[in-house]
Amino acid sequence: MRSEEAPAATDEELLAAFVAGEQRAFDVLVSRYQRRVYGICLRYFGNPTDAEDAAQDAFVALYRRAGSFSGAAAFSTWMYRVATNACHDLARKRARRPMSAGVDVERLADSVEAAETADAGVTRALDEDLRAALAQLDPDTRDVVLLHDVRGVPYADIAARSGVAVGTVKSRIHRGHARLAAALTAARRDQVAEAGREPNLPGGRPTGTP
Amino acid sequence: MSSNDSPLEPSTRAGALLSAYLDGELGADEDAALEAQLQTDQAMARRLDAIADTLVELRGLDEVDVPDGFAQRLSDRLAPDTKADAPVDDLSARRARRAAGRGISWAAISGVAAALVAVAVITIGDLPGSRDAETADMALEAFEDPAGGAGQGAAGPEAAVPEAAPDAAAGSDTRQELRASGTEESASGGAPASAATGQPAAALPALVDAGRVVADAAELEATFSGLPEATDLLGLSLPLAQERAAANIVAIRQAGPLPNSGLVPSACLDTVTPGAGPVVPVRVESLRYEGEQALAYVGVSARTGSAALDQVQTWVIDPATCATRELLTLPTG
Repeated sequence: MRSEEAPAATDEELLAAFVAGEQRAFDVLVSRYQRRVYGICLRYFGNPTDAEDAAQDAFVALYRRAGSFSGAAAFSTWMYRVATNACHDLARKRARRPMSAGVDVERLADSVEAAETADAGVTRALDEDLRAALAQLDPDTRDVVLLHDVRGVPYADIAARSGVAVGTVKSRIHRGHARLAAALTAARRDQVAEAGREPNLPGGRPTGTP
Repeated sequence: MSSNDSPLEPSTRAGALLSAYLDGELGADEDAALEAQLQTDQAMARRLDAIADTLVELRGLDEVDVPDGFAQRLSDRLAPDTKADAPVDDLSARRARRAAGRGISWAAISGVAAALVAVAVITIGDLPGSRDAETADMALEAFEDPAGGAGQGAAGPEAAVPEAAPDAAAGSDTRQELRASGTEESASGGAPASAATGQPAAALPALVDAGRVVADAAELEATFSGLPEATDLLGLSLPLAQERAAANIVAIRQAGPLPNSGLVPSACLDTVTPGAGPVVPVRVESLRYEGEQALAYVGVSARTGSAALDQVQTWVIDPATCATRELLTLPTG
């Protein structure tokens, strides 16, 4: 949050405004979330055409079903699920396989080896807190999380390469997410306590731009 | 890769479940159970938020450039959705505001919301024989805030603005509608609640008193098949269906006698909603069936073992005894 200026409307406030009939609020939400939603869909499909269609579907769903937001979780979390669901629905309609589902034999060697030979598996700059949290994971979990989440290697490719079941890879990755989120949350809380600055806590209520 | 898969501390197992939920990898049953739990477990909801935020950061999801013209194409696609189709409803707005956690500065909200309250009050109040508007509004409020009363224990309906109470003397088309039939698409790409959870647009049940005459079961099936207020609910997860059922039951119980037949819509509601799993009543109609006065209910429910609403049924009931004269499962294809 920026202390010098009036705080922007939160996502939840914008959604409430849209539900009450304020079209501008929807436009702001689209502006805030279009990259994220498209990013989720691009990861899912691996091609920009399906990704855009699914992302558009997600925002159409937001437009038409904004009133179903219960407020149990943050809007950003809800929107994440809206996007994921839009991808699943489109994949079903078009009989697409999500990138994470199948083994692409031709791509397999390239994708895993490229990831493994990258600098610590990471070429994209990761936030320092995130790197520190990753360092707290056990090496096996960290490896699969980096391969899948940072490098975008599908579950099946990782499973085929490592000789374990896809379900096992998924389990490891999901456990890794849980531990990572816990570590990241704790680290940032510590920072807040030490520095007394405004937090950017994962899981905290969003204060604006994702 | 050596295994570090077990044993797991419970919190990690729960967190892994949340991660799988976010990526849409749970089955329908697990989805529904988790969503129900999230409605009441704030700590779990915060944890879900933390994992979602972590995934966004880890995966660099906000660093992706959208294709040129994305927003314009979205705008074009939404153009057919008139403002009237937008999800403008007061209770949802209030609930969303509550979720926002603090006061909303947008002046427009209070104005629109106030106008909608007025519409709702006038509409319910105008229904012949209905309880007074304040009572109706309080009932809906109670569902919005279960702790506040009315005792149904539901987490709150996806409320609709009650609208359109046509003139009861308008002839054969006369019908009271506590709702306007939704015209939205099904839950494709929908919100959490499977739709995934996409809870279909809020809607209250239709109360119809148009003097319809139905000769037999075949005509009954033809009459009530494909009602959008019913088919829109197909696929709704059971926890959300429970909410919707509770809301609709309250709305029906709040309604007074139908203007032409004098039948009370809630008179035989218990026959339809006996409590063994959610049945969402979406329509109550006074009609003549096989030559005799009857109350027809249309309800959406789940077959045994199903995790979501997957069938539409209609009951024709003798209003004097509440005995079922006909029960049909309607085609949904």
